[in-house]
Amino acid sequence: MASPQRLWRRCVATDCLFEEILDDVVVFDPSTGETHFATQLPALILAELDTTPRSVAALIERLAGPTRLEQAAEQQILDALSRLEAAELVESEPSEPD
Amino acid sequence: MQNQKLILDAGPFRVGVRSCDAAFLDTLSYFYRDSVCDDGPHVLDYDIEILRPRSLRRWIRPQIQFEIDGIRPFDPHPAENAFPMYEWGLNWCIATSAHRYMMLHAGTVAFGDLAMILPGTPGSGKSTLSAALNLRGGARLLSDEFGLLRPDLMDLVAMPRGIPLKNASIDAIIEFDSAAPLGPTYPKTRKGKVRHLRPDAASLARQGIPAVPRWLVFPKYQAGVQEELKSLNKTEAFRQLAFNCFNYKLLGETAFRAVAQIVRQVDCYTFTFSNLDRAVTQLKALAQVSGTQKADRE
Repeated sequence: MASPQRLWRRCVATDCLFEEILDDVVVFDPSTGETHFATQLPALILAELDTTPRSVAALIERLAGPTRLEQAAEQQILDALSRLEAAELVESEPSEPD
Repeated sequence: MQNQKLILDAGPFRVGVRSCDAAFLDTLSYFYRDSVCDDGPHVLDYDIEILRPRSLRRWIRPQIQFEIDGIRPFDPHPAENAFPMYEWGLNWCIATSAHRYMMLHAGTVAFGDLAMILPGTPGSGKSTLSAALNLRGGARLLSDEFGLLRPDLMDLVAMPRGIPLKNASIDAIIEFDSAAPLGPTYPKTRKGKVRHLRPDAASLARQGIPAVPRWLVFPKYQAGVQEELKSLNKTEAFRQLAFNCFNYKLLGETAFRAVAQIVRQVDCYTFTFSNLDRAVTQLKALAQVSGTQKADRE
């Protein structure tokens, strides 16, 4: 389960390729040759992340701007990060304590 | 008998075939006499020899070997199976080298110049269905085994060759069309009983003309069922088409983009069938109804 306290980044520097098919997004990872099938939100997150570790809050700001999201929406983002991590497209690390 | 050499066009490939096996050469001529090139200098894509080994197996329970560019990639086969060995050997040559094409494990036929792609694993019925559509469905044969897509042009090139019907499919085609031009029966190949359907003259005459993908139909033969043609979700169509692409991973981004473009531009279906008459009627109707309409693009 993704945690809002962790930092998230893409696994490799190579950009993934995206093709939209109706409401779904097909993702091709050139570094592995693997193809993944995603819905819009995980694909959007993957496109926004790079190899710089980012907090969930920073990611949300990149996705939605300064808008404050409802908890349900934030949970959807965390769920999407979990799925991307399971697909080995993103990885997480503990954030440094203050 | 002295070695004879023929130069044939197999779709986009120019193939040299040498052999001294009279029965094999007769069968080759039966299937491809219209594709034989004239004498003269040629640049060959594949230089194949079908030859008997120099060992005792030349005479005792004689065997035959497939040689390509001086290499023998397969074990010998019984000499009576020379033609199937040649056909499967040429398939291997193409599948392992022709990566300028995106290669689909699919039967492909064309209604006019609009292609129906029938991807499927062995046993799905794609070859038998391709044969039936060519015999009485008004479709020209592009290939029963390879969908050869040019990814820069997004069209399919034709390579009409003998269709290897196996086991029960042989009787199914004979029942469907008693005048089907079939070659010899090979009762004991590694895939069981095999008999090849000769490609028709019209398909061979038009083998230089590509076709544009228009329908993607995933066939599934299932004994006793009523035919059912169902629309297929395009994301699932992508998944299945990529799975049925021989060189998807090798081609990487090229194949990824091409598969996406295909599923976006064509109508996608699954097709369960048991009877060739009904199957051909239904697919022919699909082509007639939607052949002049634009695909249901996303």
